[in-house]
Amino acid sequence: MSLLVALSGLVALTGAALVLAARKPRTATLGAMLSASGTGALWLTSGEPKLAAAQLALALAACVVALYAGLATGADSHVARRRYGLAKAAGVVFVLMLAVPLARLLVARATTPAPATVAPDNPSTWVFASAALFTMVLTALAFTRRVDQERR
Amino acid sequence: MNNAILTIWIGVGLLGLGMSTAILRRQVLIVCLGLHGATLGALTVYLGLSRALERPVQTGFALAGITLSTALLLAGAAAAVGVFRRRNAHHVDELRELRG
Repeated sequence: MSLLVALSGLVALTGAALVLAARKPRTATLGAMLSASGTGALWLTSGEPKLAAAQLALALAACVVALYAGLATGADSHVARRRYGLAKAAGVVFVLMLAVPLARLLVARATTPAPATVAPDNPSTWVFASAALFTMVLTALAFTRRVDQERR
Repeated sequence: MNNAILTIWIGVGLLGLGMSTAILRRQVLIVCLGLHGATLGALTVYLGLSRALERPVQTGFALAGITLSTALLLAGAAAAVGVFRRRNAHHVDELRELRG
């Protein structure tokens, strides 16, 4: 358990250091996403799955918005059209994937007297985790496009 | 090392890095990202302290902190885009110089 805590803390601290050292807003946004994911994993290992899920959902959604802002105000936004499209796709996929477990929770809450929770054994958590991973992969893809390829 | 103590130290590190970002960087968006990270660090310290002192975590308090940090980041992103479109500036000190 200590190893998991240390690893997730290392990820969170690396992301925060990336935010501090980043030259461009979009790199800082990637660092913030990394930091939020590490913090979420840290809270999950600390036995707070509901808080970790809420923190991950809100932080990643806010980071996608910040990514839009970074691309809109970036110095090279005229060559970032493809990145902008990928960021937009990441946002849409994130919202769609988040809507599935939320709808499931709402239905479960409406049909059963006991409140539904996001627990590790709940399939919603796995759907949410895969949505977060997919968002990270799409965002990483948005960053790895070379600028000179887009200039052609 | 105990997990709770390790969590507290990680939270302190996140808080320090976030505040350093907010103090040392110039771009509005990066300053807001730093403040967001610092808030998450403070909440991590709270979580670690609750576990170390064996007290229950106040879920409402933690959720309020998460919502506050998200709202801060969203407001910062909106401000960065709005100011950039109006005045073509994205540094905090430039905004201060432009103030009438």
